[in-house]
Amino acid sequence: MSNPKRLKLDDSVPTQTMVSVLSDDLVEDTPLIDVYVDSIEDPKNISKAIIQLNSCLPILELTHLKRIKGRNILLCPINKICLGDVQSFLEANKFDTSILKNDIRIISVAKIPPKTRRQYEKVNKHWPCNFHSDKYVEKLATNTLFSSDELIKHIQFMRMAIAVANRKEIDGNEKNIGVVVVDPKINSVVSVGYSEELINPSMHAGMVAIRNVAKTQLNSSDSEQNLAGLPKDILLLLRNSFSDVSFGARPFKCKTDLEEPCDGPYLCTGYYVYITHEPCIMCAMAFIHSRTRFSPRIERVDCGAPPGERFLVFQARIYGARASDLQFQSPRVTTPAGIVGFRQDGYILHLPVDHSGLRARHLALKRKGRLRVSFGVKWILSRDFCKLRC
Amino acid sequence: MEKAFHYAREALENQEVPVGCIFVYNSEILAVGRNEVNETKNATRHAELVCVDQVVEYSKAHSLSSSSVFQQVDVFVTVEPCIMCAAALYQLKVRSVTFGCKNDRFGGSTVLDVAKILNPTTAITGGYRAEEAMDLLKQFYKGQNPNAPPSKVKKK
Repeated sequence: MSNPKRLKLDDSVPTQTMVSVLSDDLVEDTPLIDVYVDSIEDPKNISKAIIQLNSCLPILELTHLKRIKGRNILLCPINKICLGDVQSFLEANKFDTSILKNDIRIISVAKIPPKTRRQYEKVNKHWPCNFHSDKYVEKLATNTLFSSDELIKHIQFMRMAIAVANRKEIDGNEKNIGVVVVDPKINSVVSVGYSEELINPSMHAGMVAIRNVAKTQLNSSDSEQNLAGLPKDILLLLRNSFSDVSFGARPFKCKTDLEEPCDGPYLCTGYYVYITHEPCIMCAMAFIHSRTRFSPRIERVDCGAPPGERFLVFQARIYGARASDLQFQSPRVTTPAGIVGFRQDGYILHLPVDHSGLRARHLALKRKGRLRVSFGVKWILSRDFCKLRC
Repeated sequence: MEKAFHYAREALENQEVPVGCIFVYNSEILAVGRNEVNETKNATRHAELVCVDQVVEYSKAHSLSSSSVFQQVDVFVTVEPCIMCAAALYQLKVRSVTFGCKNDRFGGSTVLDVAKILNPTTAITGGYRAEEAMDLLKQFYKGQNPNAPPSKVKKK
C-alpha cells in the first residue's frame, strides 16, 4: 500500500539538488596558528589564571578562542615570544607562574573565527572556539537557501533564459546565450539579453541585458516604457510559452519623486539575472556594477565558456575581495560572494549571493550601537548597495 | 593623455564619475569617451566601453573589420580600467593600455588580476599623472551621487 503522506511530500519538493559554490574562505578549512599552551595544576586556580593572563598577556587577534581547554591554558602565539622566554616573560609581567605545571607545549588553533559550522566543528577539536552561526551563510553552505517554491520559480526563469538562447530568429552565427532579468519584488521579467557580438564584439548577452534594463529607466513618455527591455518578437515568444509570467519593469521614478527611499528601480538593484552560460569576467563585473542581487546561471556541464574566460570562482573572489580603506574616500563597499546552483538534466545553475564581510560589518555596527535589533543580512546589503556608485 | 583628462573633467561637470578615455589608432584619435553611467542609467557605460562602441561604428563606416582595428588601438584612460573594462579590452586584444591612477575598488589589476586569468596580449602601464586623476575622483566623491537612491539609514 502506498503512503499518501509521503506522496504529497514528494510532489512539493523539486527534484533538483542545490549546489553552492562559495568563495574560498568559506570552502577551505580555517587557517591554523601555532600557540603555546600550559597546564594548570589545580583547577581552582583556573579563573585566577585567566584574569591574570588577560591583563598581562591579552591576545587581541585570537579573541574568538576560549582561554581554557580542560586544565590547559592558552598563553600566546609562538611568533610573539621564543619558547625559552615564555616563563620569564610571564614572571616579568607579574604572572603567578607557580599555578602552572610549567609544561609549555605548542599546538595549532584556529587563526581566524570559523565562518561556517563545518569549519567550526573542525577547529573546535583543536581548541574551543566561539562561533556565531550566520543563518544566511549556513543556508548557502548547506544548500538550503531556497524554499521549494522559490526553486520552482528559479527553474521557470531559467527555462525562459534557455528559450531566449534557443529562439529560431537568432542569426545562425551568433552565440546562443540567453539572459533573463527579473524584478523579484513584483515577480516580473524586466529585460532579456542575447548575444550581439557579431555587431559589436563587446555586446555579450549579459551586456545587452543590462542595456535593455537601462531602456526601461530612461525618462520618456512612451506608454510601453516598462516593456522597453524586451524586444517585441522575444516578448511575443515568451508570452506564448510562459503564459503565467508577468512582463515589464516597475515605473522609473526620479530620486526627488520617491516617497520611500529605495522605492524605485535604480540600475539593476535587487534584480535577479538568469543566464544560460557562465558569464565572462566582463559580464560578471557588469552585473556587479549594476548591483544585481543574484546572477544565477545555467551551464551545460560539458560545454561551458572556455576555461580561461570562466568566472565561477573568480566571481566569488571579486565579491570576496574587500576593498581596503578607499583612497578616494567613497563609501566602503561589501560586495556579494558565493554562488549557488542546482543540477537538473545535466545543467548546473549557479547564483552568486552576497554575504562576504557582512558578518564583520554587522558586528561592528552592533558594537557601535547603530544596530539595535539584529537585522538580517538583507538589510545591510541593501544599505551597502545604495551607497555603491558605479 | 591631456585629452583624456579633458573628458574626465567634462564627466565631473556632468555629475558623472570623472573618468576620461581616448583610443588612438594609427596615431590618430579614433574615439573619445567619458563615463555616461548616470546619464544612460546603465552601469556599464564606462568611458572605455563608450569608446569601444565608437570604434565599432568607425570600423563599420570604413568597412574595416573591428577586430583588426582593435588590435592596433592604444588606450589612454585617466583611471585604471575596472575589472569589467579590463576584461573587455583584453578580450578585444587592444595593443596597449595606459592609465593614470589606480582603482583600488574595482581595478582590473589592483583588486583582481584579470590579466592573470585571460593571459592577454595587451601591454598595460599605469601611474601617469596619477595624482591629478585621483584629485578628480576625490572631488566627485566629496559630493553625493545625485542619482543614487537615498540611504535607508536614518541619520542621527
